[in-house]
Amino acid sequence: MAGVEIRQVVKQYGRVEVLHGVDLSVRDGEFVVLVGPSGCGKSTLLRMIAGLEGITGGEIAIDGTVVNDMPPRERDIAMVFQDYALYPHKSVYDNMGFGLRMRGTSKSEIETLVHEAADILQIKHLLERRPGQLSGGQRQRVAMGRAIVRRPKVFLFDEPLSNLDAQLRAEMRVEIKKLHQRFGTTIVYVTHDQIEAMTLADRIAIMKDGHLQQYGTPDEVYNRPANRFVASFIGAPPMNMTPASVSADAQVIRLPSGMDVTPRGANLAACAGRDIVIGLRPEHVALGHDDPSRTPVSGQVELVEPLGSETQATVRVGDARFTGRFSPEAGLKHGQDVTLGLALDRAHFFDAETGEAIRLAA
Amino acid sequence: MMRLPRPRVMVLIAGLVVVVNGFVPAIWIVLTSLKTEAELLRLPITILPDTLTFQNYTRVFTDQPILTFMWNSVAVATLSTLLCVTVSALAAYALVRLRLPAPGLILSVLMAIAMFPLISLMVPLFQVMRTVGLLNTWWALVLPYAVLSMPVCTMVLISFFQDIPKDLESAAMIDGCSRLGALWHVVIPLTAPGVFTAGILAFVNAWDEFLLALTLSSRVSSRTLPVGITLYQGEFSFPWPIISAALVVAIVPISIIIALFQERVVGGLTQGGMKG
Repeated sequence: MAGVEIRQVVKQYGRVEVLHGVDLSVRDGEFVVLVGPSGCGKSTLLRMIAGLEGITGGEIAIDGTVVNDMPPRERDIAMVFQDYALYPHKSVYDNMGFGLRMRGTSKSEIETLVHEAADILQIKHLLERRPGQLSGGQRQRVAMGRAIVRRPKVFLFDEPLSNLDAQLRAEMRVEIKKLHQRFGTTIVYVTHDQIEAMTLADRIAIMKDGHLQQYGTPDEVYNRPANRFVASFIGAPPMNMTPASVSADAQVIRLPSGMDVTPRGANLAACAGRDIVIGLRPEHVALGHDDPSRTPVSGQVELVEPLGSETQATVRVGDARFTGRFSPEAGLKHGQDVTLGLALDRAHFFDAETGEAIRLAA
Repeated sequence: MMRLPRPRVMVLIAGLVVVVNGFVPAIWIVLTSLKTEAELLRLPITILPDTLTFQNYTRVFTDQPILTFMWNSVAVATLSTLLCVTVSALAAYALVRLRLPAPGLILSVLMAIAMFPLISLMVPLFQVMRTVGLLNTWWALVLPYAVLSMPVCTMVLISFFQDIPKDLESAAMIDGCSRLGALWHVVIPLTAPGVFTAGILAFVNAWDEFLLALTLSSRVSSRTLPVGITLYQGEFSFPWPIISAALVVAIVPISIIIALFQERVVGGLTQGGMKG
């Protein structure tokens, strides 16, 4: 096991810079998820850790050793690819044992290790088959088997579940979590799926346009997002974002279309006289105005999405829209007039220009 | 009766033309090799031999050292094929995978080699081979044959290598291979049909070549089959049946090789490793 240190890493393709000095520290045994939209540089960063992409600037160290100029085979890492990347001409057994064979492991030891890994992943009955004879889920298990069989210092996962259907993805997510608990090996995992990130990670690194936006525990990135991008990227349905301006005495929030709201339960002194964006999670939007800690606003139901256990509905308030998670018993209907209670004490406030979070005084 | 769609009819006609063009001369050679010279020159022309004779085949082996010619051909074609496929595979891999400056230009230059009329290379090649003392050796033919087949082999391999997902090589490199190791363990086995196709092209080119073989190997002991077969022709005689028999002897080995590897050439091995 080993930690991974990424210091001021830059990646350029010709004149185009795709990573702009990323710093990231992965502790020994930690499960870190790199998450972000397509093109944010997360896979590039992972491939740089693997040694599959050169490093233009900065340093990457694995287990304390700088690996910038070390070929992938010497880094003692294993990687699971999005498209499995199993060798089609080899059996499952040979796929799993290939890395060991390349490292000069004896035949008997390869057999023991492959069978052990196959046992863990419940693919023992597939060992003689070729990848072409396997389903997508089985192939992904084999790809994981190939990774764990070598007991490397670091596991790298590059969107391993994105080709699986929703049910299989949920199952494999559990498998990956169990594997981490079992082996305790350091994992760097790339995904664009924030649910995967939240459920798997010890810490999440959120990236955008080659910059690290925030690095923290799932709780931190969800409850204390560093900026507007992180706030809207993490969480489903996404955080409600409403541009607003705060009066000089911080007593009134003016919503779009000129609606004035007197905030309850939030000290907006830090936002006084500023143009801001209010971020409010759907779970902090409630129906009714009985709760004195909530700020009441009136609007009209624009969209109703029943999900069985709850109903997600979007309510139009002037030019602003608030999506909330409501009880199905509320019986919301399209076009219905409702009053929402906004828990502004739980809201997040961002500078309208920079998008950076504004921390309020308690 | 089922009506074939028009494009299919055109394809069938084109296929028929190719087959007739390829097989009729070959069949004619076989039939000629089984006739006596008298029958061949007789009018009206007979298609099937009146009296079947294998005398011509005996003469093929007794009149000239055809086994020496054949051995020379096998050696020259095999060595040039191995050399050509090895270098072409490395070149194709570099052009497909490495970030080379101006790969298009490199490819164009490579293709330009194939455009050179062979006759224009004859004098310089002769002088080079004489200078380095390779005249009348296998290498005088192996080296130019390998180079001449390289453009087409490289192009064939490029098209096959392009279909191999990059992640397979990445996986191999993480599993402990060097870049060349990944090429050997993963790319080459997966592009076996392409490698065999390139190999057969190079082999056939070398096996059939006449002009260079005539110029660079003047001793009987170093001659290859195409040149050796011309030796059956006398100053005032042209023994067609014997020459036809010699041609059949020359065609047989290459036909066997193609038949043996045909399945590998046609078979696809790449399904299943990646998604989809």
